[in-house]
Amino acid sequence: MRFGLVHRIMTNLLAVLGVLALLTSGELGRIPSAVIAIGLLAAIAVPERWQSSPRMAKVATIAPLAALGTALTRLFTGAHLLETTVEFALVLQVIRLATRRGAAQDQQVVVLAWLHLIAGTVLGGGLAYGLCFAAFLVVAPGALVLSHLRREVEGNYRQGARDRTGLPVDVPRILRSRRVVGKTFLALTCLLSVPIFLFTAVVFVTFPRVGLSLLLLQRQGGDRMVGFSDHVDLGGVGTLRTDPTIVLRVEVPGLPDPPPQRLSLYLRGTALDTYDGTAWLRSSVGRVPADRVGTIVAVKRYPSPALDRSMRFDLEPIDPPVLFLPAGTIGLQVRPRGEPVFGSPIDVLRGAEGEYRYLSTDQRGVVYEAFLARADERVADLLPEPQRARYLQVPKLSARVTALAHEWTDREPTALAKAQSVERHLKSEYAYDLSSPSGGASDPLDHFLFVSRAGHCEFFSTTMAVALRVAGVPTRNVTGFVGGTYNRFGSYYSVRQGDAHSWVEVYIDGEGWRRFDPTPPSGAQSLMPTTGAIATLRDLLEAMGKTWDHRVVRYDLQQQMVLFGGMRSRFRTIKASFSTTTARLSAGQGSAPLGLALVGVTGAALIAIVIWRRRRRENQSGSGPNQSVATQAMREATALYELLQSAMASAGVPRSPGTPPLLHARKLVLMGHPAAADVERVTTRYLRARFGEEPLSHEERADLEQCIRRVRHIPPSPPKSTTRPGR
Amino acid sequence: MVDRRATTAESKVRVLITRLSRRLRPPRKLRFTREGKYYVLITFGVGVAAVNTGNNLLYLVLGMLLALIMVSGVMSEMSLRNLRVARRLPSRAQAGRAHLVEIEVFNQKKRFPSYAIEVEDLRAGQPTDKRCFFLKISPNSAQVAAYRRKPSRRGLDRHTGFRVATRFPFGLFEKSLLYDRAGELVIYPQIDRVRLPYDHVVANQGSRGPVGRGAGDEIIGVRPMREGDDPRDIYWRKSTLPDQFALKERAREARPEITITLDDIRPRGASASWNGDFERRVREAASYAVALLRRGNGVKLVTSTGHKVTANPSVGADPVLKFLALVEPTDATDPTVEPDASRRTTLESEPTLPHRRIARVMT
Repeated sequence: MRFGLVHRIMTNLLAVLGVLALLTSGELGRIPSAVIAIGLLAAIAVPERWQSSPRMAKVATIAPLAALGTALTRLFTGAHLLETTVEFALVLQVIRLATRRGAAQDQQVVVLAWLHLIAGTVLGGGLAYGLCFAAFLVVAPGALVLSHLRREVEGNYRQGARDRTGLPVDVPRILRSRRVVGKTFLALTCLLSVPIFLFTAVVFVTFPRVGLSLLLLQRQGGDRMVGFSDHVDLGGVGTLRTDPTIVLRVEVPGLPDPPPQRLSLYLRGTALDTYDGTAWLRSSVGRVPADRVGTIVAVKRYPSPALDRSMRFDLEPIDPPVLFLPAGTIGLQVRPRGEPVFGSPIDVLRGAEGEYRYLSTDQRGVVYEAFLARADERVADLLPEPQRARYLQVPKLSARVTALAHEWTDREPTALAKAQSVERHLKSEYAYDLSSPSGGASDPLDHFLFVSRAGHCEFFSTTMAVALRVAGVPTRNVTGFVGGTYNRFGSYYSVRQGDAHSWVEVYIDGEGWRRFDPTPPSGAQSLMPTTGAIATLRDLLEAMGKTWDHRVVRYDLQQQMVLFGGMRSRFRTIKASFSTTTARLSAGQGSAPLGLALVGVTGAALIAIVIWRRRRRENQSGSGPNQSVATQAMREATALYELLQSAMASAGVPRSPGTPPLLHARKLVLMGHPAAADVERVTTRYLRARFGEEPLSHEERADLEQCIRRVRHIPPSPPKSTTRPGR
Repeated sequence: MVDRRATTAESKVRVLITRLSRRLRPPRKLRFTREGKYYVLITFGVGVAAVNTGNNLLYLVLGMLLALIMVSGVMSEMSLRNLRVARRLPSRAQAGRAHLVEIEVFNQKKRFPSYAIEVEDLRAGQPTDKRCFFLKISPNSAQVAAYRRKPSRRGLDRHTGFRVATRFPFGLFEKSLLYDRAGELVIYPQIDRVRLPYDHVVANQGSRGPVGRGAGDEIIGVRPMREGDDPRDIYWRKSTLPDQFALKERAREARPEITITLDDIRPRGASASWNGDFERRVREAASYAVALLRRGNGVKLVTSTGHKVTANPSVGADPVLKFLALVEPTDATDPTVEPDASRRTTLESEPTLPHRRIARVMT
């Protein structure tokens, strides 16, 4: 693979991942995202020869200035600072990719990619960011290494570095070379991601989570929030039944095996007591702080976390910030998703009709645990007589609606029977229809009951509540989420926007408020598929997203303490078991022979490995024809003889090219030259090492170097110490 | 006696301190590059932001940034380890004229190549500005690069060792280590073009004719080639028999030997400019010696302190140039000696011929 090409590909990959980390946050809007994505692809596709043209150089200068000007103008016209900055950074990346001309610009691309990844922590944070991060982890080492090597190549070779012939090195030839970067190089650099990942994980897990919250970099906007309607308007349009957005995840205890695919949870959000003929409203909107001790909130009583069953909820940021509770909830424990030590805890407010809301500056949603009443525990809310009229109030109804209500209820003796009768009639005689025209009628209820005979859940719940009120039974309309779909990968139920539902609570004297759902069963179910490849893939991604969210995004001091506590206890257990085993072994009890045998086998295996490796090494450096050792000996000997030649030249007895080394040495001996002995000694040893492949030991080498030094210090022609007298 | 003991104790302490300082000296030197400084700054910023906001993703990025620093340390160590560096100096070098110094780096590792190795040749007392860059040195193999150097003055050029550095893998830090590898190169004096004085001997008497075998241009015979003969003298037309070459025998040049006198005694009270004059004289002596040898004369260099060195065209100018490269002025012992311009550098014909001064070169 060509060095330049691989470097370009890796840099492009890194740039794409950085841009994706920002784009997948969904914060930039569809049109800017699409424009940037197209620009990115176009910039990557720009051929290298275009990038080196003078026009591109002008573009590289002018375009960033133009982008900066546009960003400043947008800021002055009221655009959001963070979004504008991020868009500017993305545009810069596109421009730089399109106009890069060398290693310096490529490094700028890499730096921008890093900054995008860092900015993505503020804007994004979902599973998509996690995937981008993981891919970045794999690609970054290789891209950084190649980027650095290219920088070195251009920096050194273009500054006049020379090869062994003394000629300047040709940089384009290096970039075209296939010898610099091979498959092994790429594999190894990508494998670097393993230690990087491990170290990252260690830092992530062990770094103390002491958020000081001096400067909150989280976005304050509510764009990411899940919507929830806390009122019911029969004339309104729009439906959430096919919206797959997850609102919350529920972990339900005591599930059968296998768990049901769908579970009706009836998570109550808010209840409405006043019906004006087209919509349900609340007569009281005041809220007071709920009774709580620390993070524990009392709904009916203070729960006992150790004894009471609980359901764990993971609620996405939602507007209005309602806490959804299952039937029989007696208490709550609420925590923010990212819990800083010095941050403000979450406040819980109690409103009318058993509604609970949370107040938090943290925009990342909440997790809470709903503690459930025990089987024998009675948690009914009694309705005081003065408030009874509020739940019996009906607007002006058409005569036939009133007549129908009486027809369904008059023959029933009790409130419970009346409620069951109305529910039965609605379930059996009316159809569920999301596109019912009754919503547009002036009297939606009349139109639903007598004209269309079909509607969505709000028509059914309204009809039941109104009919029972006509019959003198207190009712209220409840909105919330009916149920969830089981995620086999995450072992939780996903509750989506499509699970939004409306039902009725009927006050039964002596029993309290009781839930009725008059909507036909087919209509109460979510329209989201629960089986098939798409559902499986969706579940997998959602589970990964939840794990990412839970283990990474919301990893907090509490989890850290639990983790370290677990590690400490595990260490103690291991230590205790080790000391027990040691004591047993020393006492010669129990499985001592087995333990000793195990230790013996392990030790023997280790010794065998050590011996095998040593023998292998000895064989490699032994008497056999070993090219590398021989080459090394020859090389060392040649270097030594070259030094000797230099020294002989200094001493005035250079060896002519036509004289063999040994002959030259013997000539010196015959001449009686003072360096003769040393020269002959070095020459003889050189010939043995050079042609006899006898390696030089360190001592020999040092000794020969000493000889060479002696030769060097012999003066070229013996100076006669004839100083002229009289001077 | 007491003094001797004290000196021995002092030297022992000195040796001990030297050993200790060697032990304490870190084996590697680490230096931030510009990019590394920015990187550390960004890492620090991300760390502060993570602690401040509690944003776990920032902790994740922080971990990755720190991990890259760690990996950088390990990989640079792998790249730098088990390298052997050697220097190949040219056989001759001359002041004012560029020469190439070859640096060979042998990667002794068996599996891992070394990347982006930069070798700096260290010389005693001179700034280190000459570097060789090796992009990749495969395992168990060597790479050679060269740098061009133009020495400014004659003398002994002492190379003390190498500084081997790498910024691999990410260019964030430069890790380096020093190798002690001494080497010496004699830098000959600068040679200028000189105009030689008219050769009266040859002009009046003609060439004295070949008087023996030598390395002149004239061929006086052909003989079988013997061991040690210069292969360039093989007479190919006559070398038709296998394993037997015929060699052209050349006549010895018959030009007279010229004596060059160099004044190397620095008189007492000599001004600071004397050294500069001395260097100029050395340079001129070298230039004349080379020119004379090229013309075919023998050369005898005699200094005022009595040193003599001879050269003839067959051995070349090396003995004279080497002597001139290393010659240093000697301070005069006699206070009465005064600077005498007439004795500085002179050319004289050989004593066998009528002894007369040919030219006074330096005034």
